[in-house]
Order: sequence, then C-alpha cells, then structure tokens
Amino acid sequence: MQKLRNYLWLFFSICYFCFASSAQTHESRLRAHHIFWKNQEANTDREIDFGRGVAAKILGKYKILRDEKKVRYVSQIGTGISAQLGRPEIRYYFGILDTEDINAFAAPGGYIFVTLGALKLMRNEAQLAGVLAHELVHVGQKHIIRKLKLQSTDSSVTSGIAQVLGGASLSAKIALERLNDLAFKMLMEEGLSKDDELDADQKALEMLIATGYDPRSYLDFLKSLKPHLAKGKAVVLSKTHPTIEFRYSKLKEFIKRNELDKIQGKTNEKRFKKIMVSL
Amino acid sequence: MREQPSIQSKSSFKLKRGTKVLPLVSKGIWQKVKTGENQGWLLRGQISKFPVKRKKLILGQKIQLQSASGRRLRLRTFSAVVGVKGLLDSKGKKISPFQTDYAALEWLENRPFDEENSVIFLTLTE
Repeated sequence: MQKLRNYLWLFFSICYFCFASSAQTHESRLRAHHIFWKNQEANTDREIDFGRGVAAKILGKYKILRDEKKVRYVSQIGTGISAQLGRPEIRYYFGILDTEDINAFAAPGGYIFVTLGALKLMRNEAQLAGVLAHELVHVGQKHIIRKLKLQSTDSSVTSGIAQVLGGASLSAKIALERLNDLAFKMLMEEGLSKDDELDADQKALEMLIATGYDPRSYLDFLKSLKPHLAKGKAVVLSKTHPTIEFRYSKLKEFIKRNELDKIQGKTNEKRFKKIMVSL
Repeated sequence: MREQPSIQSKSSFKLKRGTKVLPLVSKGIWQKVKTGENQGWLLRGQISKFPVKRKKLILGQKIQLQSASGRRLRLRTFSAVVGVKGLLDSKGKKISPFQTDYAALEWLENRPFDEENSVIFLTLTE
C-alpha cells in the first residue's frame, strides 16, 4: 500500500512539473510573440516619421506641382495599385515634382514622387502605373531602411527602426535628422543597389499584370529614357539607378523567361493624354 | 473580395480599408477570408497583421492645447523643432544642410483620398 502511495505521489509530481513547465513555456512564447508584433507596429510608426522627414527634404529641393487635376490623376493610379498590392498598413501619398529632370523617388513610409520631366516623356497610363509600381516596391520592400541598416534581422525581438529612432529626447531627434540627411543623399546621389532596382522592376511588372495593364509599356518607357541620358536631362536618374541598358536587358529577359510578352493589357493612352495635355 | 482565387473572377463583396478578416485557407498568392457573413478571396498583399496607420507628425504638428500633457508635448516638440531646424552644433554648423518644405508636404497630405474610387478608376478601360 505504501509502495502504491509512493508511486502515486511520483506520478502526480511528474504531471504537475510537466503542466507547470509547459504553461510557463507557452506564456513566455505568447509574451515574446506579443512584444514582436508590438515592435513591428512601432517600426511602422517610426518608418512613417522617418519617411516624412525625407519627403520634406525632397520637397525642399524640388517644388511641388500644385495642379489639382494632374495630382489627383497620378494619386488615383498610385492609390488604385497600392490599395491592392501595397502594404495595407501604410497610407501612400503621390506627388508631382515641378522639374524637367526625369526621375521618380520613394521615401520610406509611403511618400512617392514623380517628376514633370518623367511625365512628359510618358506615352500612356500603363507607363505611369509602371513607374509608380516600381517606387511602391521600394517602399514595400523597405529598400532604403535596409540599405541604411536601420532594421536588424526580424528574428531579433527588441531591435529595429523603432529602437534606433524611437527616442523622444532632443539628441534622438537630431539623430533622426542626420539619418534623414543620409537617406536623402542616398536618393539624390548614390541610389539604391542594383539588385534592389532590378527587384523593383520585376515586381512592378508583376503588379502591372495583376492590375490589367500592358507590361510591355513599362519596358518601352525604359527604352525611351536612353536618348535623354545622352542629352543630360535624365542626369539624376542615370546617377541614382543602374544603367538603363542594364535594366532594360534584364527586364526583357525576365519577360521572355516568364512568357509575359503574350499578355495583352490596357494602356489607357487617351485618358492619360487628356489629363496631361498641357504638359 | 473575389469569388474565386483569380484576377478574372467576379468581385463578390467590397471591403473598406482596415476591415478585420479571418484567414481561412491560402492558395498561392491568394488567401480565402471571412468577414461577418461574407467569404471570398483576397490577394495576400491586401492583408496585413497590423492596423492601418495614419500620418504621424513630428515637426510642425497640431497638438491639443488644452490639456497639461498636450502642453508638455507641445513644449517638447518645440524644443525638438528648434533643435533640428535652428540650433547650431558645437562647430557652429547648422544641423542639416538641406532645405525642407513641410508646407508643401502638408498640402500633399491634405489632398482628397478615396481608395475605393481609385480602385474602380484603375479597373476602367477606355
């Protein structure tokens, strides 16, 4: 009888130990999970704060075009694509920069700009959609944030942009301003890496197909940039992107490999020209 | 929300940005979801684990002047603005050499925004 009692004690102790340790593991796992997602949310907040500073600097360099009709049109196209294929937690803004330079920029957090020079060169809506989709990918994939190494690996729970830029102190604000300067310089001078640009081109093409646009139009736009590079009009673009020839050939190869040239999409040329007639 | 996991499939139900959905099964880039009584397919990129974020203002932000915490926040923001915009560093240089235009940015942020109509506008073909 005594032996049986001992066995029972042992059995219940083991059961209790297993239950307690599993509950504790489960609780700590839940806690880590909660911290991780809270951290991710905080990262999005900081990314928007950060991007806003970069966007203000872009607008400090180039004047914004205050043409309601054209801005609404560009914004409708951009918002239409981003609502379906952009990061759902971010609100995107689309602006036109009043300059003859041919370029487009994306600041982190959803601020996207296309220049008047680039719009003048475009022949149809599919080309505009392609350029906006390309910039949307930069925001979606956090290319700038990654290049500035503001984000550590996702596996780390306590790191990330929120930790780097989250401080409320004056020195934290100054650090934020300095990082804004770095990002701005990167956009204007160095540009993103070759891989990031190719990735953005390919994903933009997929977005065009998903939204029913003609994918070849985007390729045609890249081709149409070539003579302007020689004239020096697209000088900024040539500095901040890998060579157009390289991007064009890579994208052409991508289209051929995936048999995307058979896809017939809309170009909406008439609608584009009607809005952009006074350019 | 579409009836089938395909771009060509008919749209069965319209969802507003920020609507909570329950994920069911996934198929490639498509995810079947349920919201209330309705079920349908969405592109995976249309779903996020995070809630929709509104714009965040650091510089030149509008803060409630009434409450004590609002006043504190206003003072803190003011010092931060002075810090980054006006103060000089120890070598006598301005902290940032680049110009900013927050007024233009606010103009852009205040443009009308209609996501639903933009998606419809995008689907129209001449």
